[in-house]
Amino acid sequence: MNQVDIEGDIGVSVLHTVFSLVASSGAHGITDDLTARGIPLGFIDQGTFNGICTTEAIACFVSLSSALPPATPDPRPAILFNPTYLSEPPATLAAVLVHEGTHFQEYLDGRLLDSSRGTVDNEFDAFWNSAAFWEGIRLTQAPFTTALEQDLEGIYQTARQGEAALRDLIAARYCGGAADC
Amino acid sequence: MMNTAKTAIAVLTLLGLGAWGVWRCEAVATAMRGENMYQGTAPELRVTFSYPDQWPLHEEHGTVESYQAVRIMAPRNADDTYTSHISVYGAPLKSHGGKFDSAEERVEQYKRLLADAQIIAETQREVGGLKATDLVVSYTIPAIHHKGLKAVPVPVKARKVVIAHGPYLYELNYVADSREYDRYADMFERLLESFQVQ
Repeated sequence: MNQVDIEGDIGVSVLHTVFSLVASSGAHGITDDLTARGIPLGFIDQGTFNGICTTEAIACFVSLSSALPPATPDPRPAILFNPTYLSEPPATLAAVLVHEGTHFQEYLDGRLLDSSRGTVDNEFDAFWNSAAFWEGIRLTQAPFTTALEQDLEGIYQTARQGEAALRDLIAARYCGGAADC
Repeated sequence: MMNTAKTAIAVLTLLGLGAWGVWRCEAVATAMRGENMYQGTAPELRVTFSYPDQWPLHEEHGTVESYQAVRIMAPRNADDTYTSHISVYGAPLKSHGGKFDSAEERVEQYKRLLADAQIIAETQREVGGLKATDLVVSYTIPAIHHKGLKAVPVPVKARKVVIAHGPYLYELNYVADSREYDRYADMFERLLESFQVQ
């Protein structure tokens, strides 16, 4: 079995725990794909993170090369974590890995750059998967005191209202004034 | 003479009925100035309603759940954090492959899931000649910490009207940044007044 590639000098142990939590869950298809393709994850320094992912993000999936599967991109895509959230519980960071790992899967199978799809479609898949993962662990994380836990719980509650409600929320937050994007 | 009078009355009656019929059709199918008329063709959402003609509209169908929806967006809010919107969903009842047995079940689930919400009003009314439950709630959407978004919570006020008719459940929603709710509330009321299941 391939080993996860965790890069950087900080939070390495935390990310190993995070990765194991996802690998042992129903979302293991994501970690299977990450290891099979050698996709690195890591907490990186704040300045670099802000430049790539923006200050307010917890993490982001980034394709660092214009090469697309089945070509081998060089450098490889990566999942970057914001060091501000280093002390969050691993279980909550694992839900973030499910979200960003879903974007990696979308990249891998072509959905991420499919012109018939947009932000609402891509974010819906990622939020829906992270909500499904969060459902399995949320009671162990309650009460939801951190900003990240409240973020995940809010998305989870919206997802429970149904797919249409979650898509509406994504459009209302992400699409400016457009009805879809 | 009597026969001529009876014929004249019959003709006038028919003309009157015809005119009423034309008027009624126009009342249902014609949008007012500044409005467009939506006419759904998907089986789950074969409805008509009017909406502001400057607001962009998007139709979608479910990918993991069975429904058809229309989303119509108001202008972006002043903080650039949220766009108030109207959405209309149509989904099969559970007996036809959907999630809910009835409008009452959907309303109860909605209230239960909005545990931290304040229920401002719950009333029964008629929409398009059909029995409807009309809910007004307020709650706060937590900050979403993602690339491209301002990570701030958004207080919202929402109205949900739920109707069961035939094999379908209809949900008519208006969700707004609470500071903008009153600005667009009349648009939603106008949509409700014009809503018809075909």
